[in-house]
Amino acid sequence: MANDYPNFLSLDFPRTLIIYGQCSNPVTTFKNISILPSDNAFELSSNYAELYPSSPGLRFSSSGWLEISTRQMLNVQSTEELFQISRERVINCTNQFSKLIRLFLESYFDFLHSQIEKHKNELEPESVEDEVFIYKDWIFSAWLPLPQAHILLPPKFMDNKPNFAEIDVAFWMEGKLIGVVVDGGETPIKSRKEKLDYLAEKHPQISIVKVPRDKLEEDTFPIDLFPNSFSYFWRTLTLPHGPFAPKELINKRWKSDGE
Amino acid sequence: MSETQSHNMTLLSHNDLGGFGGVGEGMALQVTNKDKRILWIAHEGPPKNFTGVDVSDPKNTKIVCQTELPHQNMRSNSLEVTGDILAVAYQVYELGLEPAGVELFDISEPENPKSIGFHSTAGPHSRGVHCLWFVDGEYVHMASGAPDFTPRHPRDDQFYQIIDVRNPSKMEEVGRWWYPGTSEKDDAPPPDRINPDPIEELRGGDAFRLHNANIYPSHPDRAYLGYIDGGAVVLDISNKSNPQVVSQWSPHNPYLGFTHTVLPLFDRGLLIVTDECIKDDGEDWPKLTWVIDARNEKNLVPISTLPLPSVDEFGNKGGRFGSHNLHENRPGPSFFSEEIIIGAFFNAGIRVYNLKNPYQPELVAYFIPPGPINSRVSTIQMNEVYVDENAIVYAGDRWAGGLYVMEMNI
Repeated sequence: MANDYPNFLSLDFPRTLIIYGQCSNPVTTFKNISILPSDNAFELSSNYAELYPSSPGLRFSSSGWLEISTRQMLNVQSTEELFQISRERVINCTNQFSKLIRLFLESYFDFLHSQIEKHKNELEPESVEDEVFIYKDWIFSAWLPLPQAHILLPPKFMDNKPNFAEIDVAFWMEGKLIGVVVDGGETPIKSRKEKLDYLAEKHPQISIVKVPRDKLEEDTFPIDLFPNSFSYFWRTLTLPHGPFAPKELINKRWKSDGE
Repeated sequence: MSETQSHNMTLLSHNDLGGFGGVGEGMALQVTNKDKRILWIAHEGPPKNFTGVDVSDPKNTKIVCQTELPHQNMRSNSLEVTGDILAVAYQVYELGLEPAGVELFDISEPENPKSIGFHSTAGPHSRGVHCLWFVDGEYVHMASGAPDFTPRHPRDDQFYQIIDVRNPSKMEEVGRWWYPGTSEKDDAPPPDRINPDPIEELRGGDAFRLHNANIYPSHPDRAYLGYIDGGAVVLDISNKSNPQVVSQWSPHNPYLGFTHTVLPLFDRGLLIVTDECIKDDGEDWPKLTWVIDARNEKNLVPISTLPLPSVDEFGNKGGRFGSHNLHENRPGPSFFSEEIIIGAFFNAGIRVYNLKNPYQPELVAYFIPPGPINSRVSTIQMNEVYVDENAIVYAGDRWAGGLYVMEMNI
C-alpha cells in the first residue's frame, strides 16, 4: 500500500505522525506504516500515532496503544493491576539505556497516583452505591506519554525525504502537543538541533517543555513546567473508563468539543 | 602520500607544532580570564615537554608556549588542565631515573607557565607517571610507579594512585590500588600473562598495570580503570584510602590485551572500553572498542563493538590500526555526549559513532588525513582526541603530524 506523507503544515489536511518507543531508525518504521490518505479517524498503535488538530487527547484510556492478551485481561483483578500493566508497558517501550527518560516516566507515574489520591473527593462518584466506577479509575484518563517520540517533519524540511525531530516524551492533549526534552547537559548535535528547532518553530500545536536533570533528581514531578490542564486531566470528562471500553461508552463520555 | 579520506568532517586548520608534531596522550583546553582559548598538548616523546596553542580562532591556531624536558631519557606523555592549573606526567625510560612523577604549573599567563609543585614517584622499580587525570582541581588520579612499590613483573610497575594536590607545594598520596598479585608483597598469585613478551623488555606489550583512570565529579565515589591486560576495573573510591573493587571485565584472553580507557556513560548505564593497538601492520588486530552494558555495575556485559574499517584495507597500510584514545566527556570546556562517541584510531583516523542504539553503533563521521611528512610510518597515526564545547575536534598524530582541528557536520 502506498505510504502517504503526513504533513503537519498541510493547509487542507494537516496530520502529525509520531513514531514512539524502541526505535533506532524511524525511517524504517515509517516505511512499514500504511497510512490511507483519506483516513479521517486518528490512529494510535503500540508504536505510532497519527493525529489531526482536532484529534481527541491521547490518554491511557485511548484504545490502540495497549495490546494485551485475553488471558492476561481475564486475570486482571483491579484498576491498580491494569494500570500497573499500562505503566510497565510504557516503561518497557523505552530504551533500557535511556535512564533519564525512564526517570521522567517513573516520576510521572508517581505524580498521577498522588494526584488521584489528592483529589479523591472531587473524583469520587456522588453516589458510590449507584456507580460502577471508583475514583481510582480516573487514572486512566491521564495523558498517555509517548516515550522517545520521533515526529515526522514536512517534506520541505529537507529534500522531500522523511526526517524526524526527536522528543524524549510527547503528550497529545486536546489539540496541544507537549514535547518534553530532558536536558542531561548534552552538547547539542547540529542536525538534531536543527530538526527540533524547526519543529518548535513550525508546528502549530507544539509546546516544548525542557526538563533539567536536577528537576528529575528531586522527589517530585516537575509539574510547574506543564500547563494547568496537564494536572487536571479529568476535568473535561464525565466518566472514566479503561483502554478496552466499548466504543458506545467512549462516545458518550466526552464533554468538550475537542474530545 | 595518500589523499584525505573524510565523511561528515571538515579540516579547519593544521599546526605542525613547530616541527615537533609527535603528540602524546594529553590534550586539555583552558579558557583564560582574557577569553583566550589555549589547547595544551603533551608530546609523545622528547625533546619537548608540552606545547600551548592558541585555538581561539580554530582556523588559525598559534603556538604560544613550547617547553623542553630536562633530559632526553624521559617523556611527558599525559597532561590535564583544571582552571589555570596544568598537571603534567613525567615518565622515564629507565627504572630509577628522575624526574619521575607529576608537576603542576600555574598557567594563568599561558606564555609563561610557572612550576608550583612537584610530586616525585621515582624509585628503583618506578618509571614514574604514564597517564594522569585531573578535572576537579583537588586530586590527580594517575598511573605511576612508586619508590616503595616492587612489582613481581617489571612491566607491572604503574598502579593507581590518588594524589591530593590542594596544596600544590605539598602534594601527598591519599590512596592507591593495584591489581592483586602484581606486588612482591601480595598473597594473591600473580596473574597469568596474556601474551608474554620477554621480561627484560621494559616496553613490552604484556602488562598488568594501569593506563587510564577516569573519575568524574558527578560520581566521585567511582574510578574507572583501564588496567591493560587486566581489563576494565570499576573501583569504589568513596574511601580514597581504601579503594574496593566493584567489578572487573576483561576480554583477554582470547583477545590480546591492553585495555586503555574505560569511559562511563552514566545516564545510559554503559561503559565504552578501548583496547589499544600497540603493534604496526595489523600484527595485533583486532584491537576493539567495546560497548559494555553496565546497568548492573557488578555484572558487566559486552553488547557490541564500534565498527572498524576493513583490516584488508588498513591492516597493512602502515603503522598501527585500531582503537586508542577517546574523547572522555571531561568537565570543563568540553563536548559532552552519551550518544556520540569520538575516538582516535591510528591509521583509521578520527572516527565518530552514534550510540543511540548501543547494540548497533553507527559510524557517522571520520577524518583520515594523509601520512605526515617526516613520520616514521607512511600513514597518519591519530593518537589523541579532544572535543570542545562547540563540537570542534582537536586531534594529534603520534609521530610528526601535530595538531589537526576539525568540525563535525553531524
